[in-house]
Amino acid sequence: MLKIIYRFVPIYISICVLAGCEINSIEDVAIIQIAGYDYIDEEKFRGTVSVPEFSRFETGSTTSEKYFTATGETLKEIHAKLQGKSSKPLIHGKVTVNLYNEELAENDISFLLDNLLRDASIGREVYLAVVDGSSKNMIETEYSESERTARYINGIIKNNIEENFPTTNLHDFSYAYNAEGMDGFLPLLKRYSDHIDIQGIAFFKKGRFVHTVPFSDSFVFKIMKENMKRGNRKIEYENHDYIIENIGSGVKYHVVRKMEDPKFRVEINLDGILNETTRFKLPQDPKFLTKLEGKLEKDLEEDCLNMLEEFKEKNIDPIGFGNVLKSRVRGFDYDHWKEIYPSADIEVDVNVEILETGITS
Amino acid sequence: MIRPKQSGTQALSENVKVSPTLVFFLIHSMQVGIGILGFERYIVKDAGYDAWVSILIGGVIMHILLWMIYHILEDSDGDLVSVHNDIFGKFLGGLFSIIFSFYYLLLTLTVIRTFVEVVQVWIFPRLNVWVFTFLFLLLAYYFAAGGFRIVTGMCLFSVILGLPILALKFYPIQYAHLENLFPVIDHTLIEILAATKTVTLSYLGIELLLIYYPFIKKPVSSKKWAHHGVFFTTLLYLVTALVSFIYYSEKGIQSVIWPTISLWKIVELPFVERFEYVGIALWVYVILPNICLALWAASRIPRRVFHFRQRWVLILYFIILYIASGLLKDREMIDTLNDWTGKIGFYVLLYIPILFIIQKAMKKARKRHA
Repeated sequence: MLKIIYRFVPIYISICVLAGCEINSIEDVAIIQIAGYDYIDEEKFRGTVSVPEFSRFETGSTTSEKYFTATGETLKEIHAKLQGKSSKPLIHGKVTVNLYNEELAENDISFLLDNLLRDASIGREVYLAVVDGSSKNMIETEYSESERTARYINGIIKNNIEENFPTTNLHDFSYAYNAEGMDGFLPLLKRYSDHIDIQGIAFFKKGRFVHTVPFSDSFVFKIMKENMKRGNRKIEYENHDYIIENIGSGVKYHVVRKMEDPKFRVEINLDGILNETTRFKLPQDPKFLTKLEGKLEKDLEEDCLNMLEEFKEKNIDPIGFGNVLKSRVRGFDYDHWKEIYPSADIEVDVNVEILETGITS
Repeated sequence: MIRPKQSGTQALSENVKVSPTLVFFLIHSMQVGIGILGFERYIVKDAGYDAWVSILIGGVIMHILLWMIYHILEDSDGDLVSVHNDIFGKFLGGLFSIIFSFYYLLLTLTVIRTFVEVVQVWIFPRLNVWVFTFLFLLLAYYFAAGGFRIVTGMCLFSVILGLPILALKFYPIQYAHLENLFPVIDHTLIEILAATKTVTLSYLGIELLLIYYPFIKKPVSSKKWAHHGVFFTTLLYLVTALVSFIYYSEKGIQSVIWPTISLWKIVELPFVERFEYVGIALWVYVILPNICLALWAASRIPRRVFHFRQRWVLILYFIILYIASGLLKDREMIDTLNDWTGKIGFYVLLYIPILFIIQKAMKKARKRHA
């Protein structure tokens, strides 16, 4: 008996190990890297995907892109139609960017979000973005000879998250989508003839795109939303412009008054260095930097308050004050909170410290 | 009146026994299995994000049960079968023992089928369940037939191989929303206890000690290690739950079936882009001792009761498991299976204090009559 078992072991191991080898190689499948969806009418929408094509020549190998478009009423229908147009099986596992056009986003993207979260092969760090215009056109434009569109758009979002743009990906968006007292946001992109710009931030109420803030204000939103290490901001002071580079800012939310008549205080501490000015030399006034700090504090507080006022008007809560309150009070009543949020009292308190002024005085 | 001992375990020679230190691995690896991949979702249903308190309470309960199990076994100096024979006599005792055998078999079935489901959902949707379970069971049979020492070795391996996966908790911590855990204890005691009942199911596995106790050298010194094992399990569950709690929002986690596997999705290593495939493959090592030990224990009981050859019982159980896991088709059935195993497991744990009290009472009565 034992002998039989021992003889069997190598065969057994080889079955187990070799069964993992699939014959699909990278040339035999079409890997979708970017997918975009456009609104057609209340029932139908259009999906566009781009897959890289690898071709070998004597002079070397090149990659080009191929695009597929289909319309349908459900995602699966679109996928089936797309599959019908492709000579190789389309694989979703490597999608890095998903685009939705403005109209579609205004009409709720929840069902598309559900699909992304349900599919086991899709990661949680996919970027989602809203497109001003048609996402089909955005995908089908060639922006650079050396870089594929998917990688280009991916790069734009990733790069800006490290600077002025708030952190966003599928996980963050779905976190906010599911949380009580928090709404999500995505980057808003626009295509120009040869490049793409981040237009601003698209704010959502659950799955619906309802509000937007221009890109120039994303710094203000970001310092209220998260701790950041980069980004910069202009101050106008006595007819001159100064640029303060943020080298580390932190935000804390304080709940001053609780459930019945909530009041919040947003405390922002920002350390910066002055790295550009339009007036060649800084004045000799020893109090000058303190004054500059004061001006920046006032500017930022004003901008933050204005932005928060807009959020309340649109009844969205991208900062997540509801979520903050939920963690600070016992017996949080979400339905009650939804009613009182637009009238909630929010105070912003910014402390700026300018640490250095560069290597010239 | 002094009854003759019916344990029949004195016959076990030293070379089939394992050292007391290994009880740590036996206890811990049997407790941790397929459940840890998705238990958060179930405990959150009752107690929300205060469920970590339930995990701690559950851990304490396990320590108490373990203490009782040791008392029961020490008093009879045998295994579950001899305890049952002692208390209920040969026929009723034998019947109870056989029920336990079926319970262990059910545990094995649940682990195998649930793991195959994970593989089906995450990696190979078109997996042929019949072929896969056959190969898997063959492997389990190979270890279980090798005897208790082989199974113990498997447990040791599983704990060591599973440990590095813990380091990956670092990735979700980067996304931490610590405020999720506050306010601390915002649920009623009833809700927290309801979640404790759910969480005890994840702690199932210490009751196998009832069977392999005679296989431990110097069983008294193994006590310490068994308690360490339970403590380590509690800690592991606590860390796992806390990390999931700060990563998902409370509403969000309830729609995620396997929070831990979903967490692996964000792991990015330079040489592997999608870690969940590696994680699930590694998990085979975590669940294999579950299957082997439970299968071994299940087949050990009929041997002790009816004096069958253990190998024939193993083969019979192999066939039962194979057919049963092949017949369970979809998520709903597997969910029901898990539900039932949980319920039955809960009663098995409830049975331990009862057994403890009966035995203590009988001991006292016998002393008085002696």
